[in-house]
Formats: sequence, C-alpha cells, structure tokens
Amino acid sequence: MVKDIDATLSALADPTRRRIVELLHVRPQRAGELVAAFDVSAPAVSRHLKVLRRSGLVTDHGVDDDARLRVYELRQEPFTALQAWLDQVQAFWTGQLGAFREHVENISKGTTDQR
Amino acid sequence: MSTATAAVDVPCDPGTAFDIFTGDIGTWWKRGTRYWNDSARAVELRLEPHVGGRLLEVYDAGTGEGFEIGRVLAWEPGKRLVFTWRQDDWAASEFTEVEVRFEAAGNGTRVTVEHGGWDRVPAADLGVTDGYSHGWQELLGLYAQAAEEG
Repeated sequence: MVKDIDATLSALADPTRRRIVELLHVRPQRAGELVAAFDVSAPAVSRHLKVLRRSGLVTDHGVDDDARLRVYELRQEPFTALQAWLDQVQAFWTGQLGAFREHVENISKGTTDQR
Repeated sequence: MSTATAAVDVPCDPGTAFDIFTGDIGTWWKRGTRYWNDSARAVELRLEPHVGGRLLEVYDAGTGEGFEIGRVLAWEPGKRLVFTWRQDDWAASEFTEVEVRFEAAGNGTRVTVEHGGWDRVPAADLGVTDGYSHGWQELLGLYAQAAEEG
C-alpha cells in the first residue's frame, strides 16, 4: 500500500503522464487513441504507459475480438491512497481557516464593542 | 489532480480579509499542530508583505528569524495570494504551492486555499509512510481498548 503511494507520486511527476491519467479518467482507451491526443511520438507514449503500468496507476487488457489491441484503464487503489494523503492536507487547511475565521469574528466583535 | 482544497466564509470584505489573513497570520495561525516544523521552538508565523517576501516560522522573537517555509509568488491585496511551501526535512529543491483566493460572497468573503504540487515531492519525504503506520497504530490502540472493555 505504502509502496503504491511512492510509485503514484513519482509516476505523476511528469506532465505527459498526468495528461494520460486525465484522459483515462474520462474513459478507458487504446494506446492508439492516446497517441493521437499528443504531439509526442508513439514510442514515447508507450514508454509513459509502461511507467504508469509498473507503478500500478493503470492496467491494460486485451479486446475480445482482437488480441493485439490493448485497452488501458485507471486502477482505483493508488488514487484512493493519494486521496487519503490529500485529505490530511485538507484537514490541516480546514483547521487553519477555522482559526482564521474565529480571529476575524473576534476582530469584528471588538470593533463593534468600541463603538 | 493532486491538490487539496479548503474554504471558509468570513464576515468582512475581501480587502479586509486579505489584510487580516496576511498581517495577522502570527496571531490566528493554529498552534500545536504537527504541521509546525519545530513546535517546541516556533513562536509565530510571519509573512513579508510583497512578492518575493518570505513566509517564516519564527524561532527568535527578537530578530523575527526562523525557518523559511516559502516565498510569496503573487501578492494581490483583496484578491489573491500565492506562496511556495516546504517542510524542513525536504530537499531544498522540493516545494509545493499554496494559492489563497479572496472572493466576495454575500455580505462577506469566501477564502479558498488550494495546496498543490505534491507530485513534485517524493512520497518518502512527505512522511506518508509514518502517517499511515501511525494511523493504524492509533486505530489498533482503540480497537484494543474496545476489546478490553468488551
């Protein structure tokens, strides 16, 4: 599980791979469709897909009527783990903003009292 | 994608909200959380009010110096504040980004924080490993307690 998070973050540390993940988030796609969406070469996209597959972010499977075609799709688990981390960051800022609001409210009250 | 978002509504106009957020950060910033780099030495947070200004976790109240959490990238009073954010155990080249937006909402202001760029920092440095094992330890402790009481 923890190993997955490591792999998730390093796999996402590349703009092309982040874009691939976004495209696969819309729907599972064939490698050819993904290549068509980029300016980079097919081998380059293929290399990125390999990284994504190794890190467990995507999985690929054959299509029933054509074994040569591979369809790529996202795996849920690594994103759930990443979300758990982001939730911690979010809880931190929610706490800080709560403290900020309290402070603003105290100031407004103070101003009212002085009047 | 890897962005954490939080928001709050405050009862004042965006300009005032911005001024209090930045000018009073040493007062309202929550104490004693594990997000202080060094909670034993930290006196307050200090933000230098201009682009390129430092966000500091102050250790020396006299000089106002301490650990540099980040630098201001955008300073737009009443609208928007962007600063970089790093922890003291990250490599110097590793940082994330915090954007704070101030938008009029009803009679007050909605303050939104977006903290992103986590994919630039290796997970090992984020303490994700520790966080998880700690979380599990806590859960297992609660479980053990419940089991004992049961």
